[in-house]
Amino acid sequence: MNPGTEPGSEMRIELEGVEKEYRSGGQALPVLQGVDLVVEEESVTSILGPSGSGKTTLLGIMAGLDRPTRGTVRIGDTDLTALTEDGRAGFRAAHVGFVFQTFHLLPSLTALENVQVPLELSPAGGQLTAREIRERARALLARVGLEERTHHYPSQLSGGEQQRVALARAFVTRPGVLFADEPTGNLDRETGARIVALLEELNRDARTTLVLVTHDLSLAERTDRVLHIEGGRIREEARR
Amino acid sequence: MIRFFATRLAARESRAGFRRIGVFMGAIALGVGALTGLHGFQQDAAEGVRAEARELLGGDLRIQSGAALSDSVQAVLGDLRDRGFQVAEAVSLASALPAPSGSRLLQLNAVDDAYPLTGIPESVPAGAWQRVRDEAAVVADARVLEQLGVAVGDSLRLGQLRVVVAGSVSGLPVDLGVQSIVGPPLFLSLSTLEGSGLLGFGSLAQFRAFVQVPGAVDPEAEARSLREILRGEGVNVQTARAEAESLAEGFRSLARFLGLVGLMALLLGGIGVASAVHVYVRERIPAIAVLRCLGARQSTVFRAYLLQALALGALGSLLGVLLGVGLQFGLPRVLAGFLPFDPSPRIRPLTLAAGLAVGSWVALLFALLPLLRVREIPPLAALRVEVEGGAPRRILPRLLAGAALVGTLFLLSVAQVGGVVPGILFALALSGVLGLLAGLSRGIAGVTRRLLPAGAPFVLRQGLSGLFRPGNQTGAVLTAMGFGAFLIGSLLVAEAGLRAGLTLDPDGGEPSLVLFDVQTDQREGVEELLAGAGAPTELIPVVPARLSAVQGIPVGTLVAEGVVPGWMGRRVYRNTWRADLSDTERLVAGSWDASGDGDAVRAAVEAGALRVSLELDVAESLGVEVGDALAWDVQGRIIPAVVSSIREVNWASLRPNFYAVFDAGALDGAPTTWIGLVPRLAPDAVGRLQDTLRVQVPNVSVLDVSAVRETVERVSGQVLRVLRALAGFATAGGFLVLFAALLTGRFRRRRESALLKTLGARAPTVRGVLLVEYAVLGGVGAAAGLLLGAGGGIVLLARLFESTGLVPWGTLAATWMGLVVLTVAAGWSVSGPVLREPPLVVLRDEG
Repeated sequence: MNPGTEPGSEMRIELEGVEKEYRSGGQALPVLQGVDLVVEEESVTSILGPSGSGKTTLLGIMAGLDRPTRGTVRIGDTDLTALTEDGRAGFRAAHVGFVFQTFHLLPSLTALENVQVPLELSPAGGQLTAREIRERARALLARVGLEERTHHYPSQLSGGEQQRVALARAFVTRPGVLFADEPTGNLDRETGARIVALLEELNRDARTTLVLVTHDLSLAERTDRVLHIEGGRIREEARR
Repeated sequence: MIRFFATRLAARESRAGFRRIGVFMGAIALGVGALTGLHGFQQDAAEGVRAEARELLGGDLRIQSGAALSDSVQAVLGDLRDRGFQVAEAVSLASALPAPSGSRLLQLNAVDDAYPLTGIPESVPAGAWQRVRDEAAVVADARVLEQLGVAVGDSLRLGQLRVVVAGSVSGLPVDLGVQSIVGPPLFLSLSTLEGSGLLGFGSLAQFRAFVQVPGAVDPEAEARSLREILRGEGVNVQTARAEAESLAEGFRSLARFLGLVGLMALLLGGIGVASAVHVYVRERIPAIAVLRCLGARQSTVFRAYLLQALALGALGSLLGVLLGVGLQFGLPRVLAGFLPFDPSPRIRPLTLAAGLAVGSWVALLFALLPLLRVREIPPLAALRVEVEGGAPRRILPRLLAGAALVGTLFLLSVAQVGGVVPGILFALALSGVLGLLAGLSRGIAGVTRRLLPAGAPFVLRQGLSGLFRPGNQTGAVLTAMGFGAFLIGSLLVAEAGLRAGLTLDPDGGEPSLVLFDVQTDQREGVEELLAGAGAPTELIPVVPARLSAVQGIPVGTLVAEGVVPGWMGRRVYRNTWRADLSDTERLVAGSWDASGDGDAVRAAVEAGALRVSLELDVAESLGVEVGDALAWDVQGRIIPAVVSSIREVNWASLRPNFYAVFDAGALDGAPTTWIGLVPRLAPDAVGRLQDTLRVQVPNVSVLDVSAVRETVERVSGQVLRVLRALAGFATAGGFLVLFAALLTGRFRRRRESALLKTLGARAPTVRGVLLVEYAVLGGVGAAAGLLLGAGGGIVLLARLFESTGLVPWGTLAATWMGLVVLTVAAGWSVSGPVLREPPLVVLRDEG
């Protein structure tokens, strides 16, 4: 059970009959077809697949960033497909964290402020004072080794440092589920390895359900489960 | 914490894009500055006129006539004195005065001992004003004495008298005390004027009596009673209030024009805001998508950016209000000497608050349309860049925001124009201009797409393709540049039209000197004198007459019934006779020659009526047509006449024009004075001739046209300076808006330029591509805006100033070139730094 989630709510992800089509030139373009999938709570799952296979779409739909054309997506007891746009935003604020390939730190905010944002948006953060929020963000930045860089803007940080801030931001609310889209895709091998180690460490401590999209086979091999996606369909590769 | 998240986010996000924020605030500040500054100036002027009405007029009432006040008028004045009213009399006439600095045209103001009724004359040396009353002495403003090159104690020749310069004076009422169109005022006593012999028969003197009523008496009621008593005496009774209103009316057209310019500047600022926000939102898309991923609701993010727009709008408006105060205090300085009153600028909290509110509201409305996009940015855009472009746009909020914008435009237009129908027409015209510019941008994009030859050189093809490619900025730049150019074009045309109306045509064949009041027995002598001076001149006869009857009905009856305006019934017409139409006239009805007369005219002539040609406006005011009967009172003798033709007269020429022209010789024997138009002479010959005339025929008034020209040009120069200052304001606003619009295309350019460089394009090629696109955008936008503005200027001139528009093609062409250069330069300043970046940096940033 993750400390940031509500008591009794399991962070298990269930996809049932999920399909996604985009319209292009008046024609339906299927991207996901008949996806049935269960991601167990506190597990680490990687999704592998060639470009255009639908892995980012799948991640987006699992995280409630988009709606499937057909089918249902549940995280814990919540049916994301039944929620409005703002309802899904509220759910994400409370339970979901993100790590992006291109870091996506807010450029006008300092490292510390970037980490504070999810807390300020989440219901859990609503119970905290501004000082407590700041202290928690600062502690997490210290945990990723950036205690000296709290007041730096993203443009003043290296790629590896930016991704470490992104990791701190992702874990600051102790989310039940963390989605990572190519977290090492923009980093060199050495920095990428350090980020993966940090991600694993934070995830282990937070006991988060982690779903990551990657091209990196060595990273995928370290996860509990590897899903291969091709032509919008899932094929399970391995389960440890 | 979550409650204040939007506020905190707004504050944090304001760190991003200082340049956009600067453009946003600058655009709205310029608009609000123009609006509040010009509005404040209008209010100052209106208040100034009202407050100083009495000082302007020199009393509560003024009785004025073109002829000496008759015995019955004098009797009425005597009666007023008996009732405890204060009465002062003055006679004014134009006269050239020989001075060491050369001959100068002056307005001689001869006043009695009671003058002035308002104000306290302060003379240097003390007692100079009293000397004017006691002896043959004159005083004038110190500056006038300086211009004349005379000092205290010098003597001057005034007609047949020599007068001494007693000193300088100030603090006299404006009516006589401020420089008139004729020239600066010089004060003397009535007895001195009589002794000079300048006041001859038929002179162009104005006779005035100023009246100050006791506190308990209502000046308006007294004026009504005096008008009744003095009916038929040919005098005009004016109250200080009416004088103020008439002055304010003259000023109102200019004020209204300035108000409309202010409104257009505000709209231009609004367009700048819309462009700046559009760019800003575009830049913030990744950040907004991430915030949405992190759980921020649509409404939270939208509220944050709306708060930011509100704060910036309010700040920009505040800056604008300060700018407006500067404009309000600066305009009277620019117009110093032109305004016949002191506008005494003062801060009006309510006007400033209104400016702040209107500016903030307009900024918010213009920001709202692009800001609505914020609500539609999906969180998925953080994962996929292409998602953003495909997000659906909601129609209803846009319709509501658009409706609020249009409604505001209509309300502001109605408020500024001062009438519902003209206000709506103005708003429709502005909407039409914006619509045309938007249509033009679509047209240009479409035409370029179809007609761009595939074989065109690479730079040209790439540059022109920029006009229609996805994410192009054709619409934004053409609308912004076009509207800015529209405002500048309107001002240039208005300036040119007013300049043409106010200044004199240098090649208009105007005379050097105009001689007035030549008596019949002096005619031959003057003609000989002029011929001797190398300026042979045929004198023009002037026969003063009053209108006695129209179609057999006495004019008094027609005036009383309101059929004919009072002034037409009372005035003394200066009629003439001659054989030919002058070149400043055009026949619009009837026949100039008797041979072309119709039956009605012929029958009237046979019955003893004289043929008379009437000026068009007079004919319309009297409601007469060719063949109608008039009766003229020439020194008590009634002369029957028939309207034989109607003429349109160009009053702008400095040649003497006449309302009524009789056939040559028709008025022989009637009391006549003569006018002489002395042809162009060298300046020194003009001076010598003036001196000779002064000595030999001192009663003849000599008008030096060059002096009048100077005065007219000085006054018009001040109005034009205001217009030019406004054009400068408009250009600054237009530049900011253009800058904002160009920023919208910065991203596309950045990536495209990087890709081109990556693919091997050299810097000059990339620069050439940008140059072509900017030059076409600037060229088309500026041309369309300037031409539309020229049309707008002509309409404004016709409606507000009843003046014919004049398109200054040369100035427009030069402005067009300037605007194209400005567009390219602005584009350069926006894209230049981007072009210098290594392509790898750009491509890595853009993912």
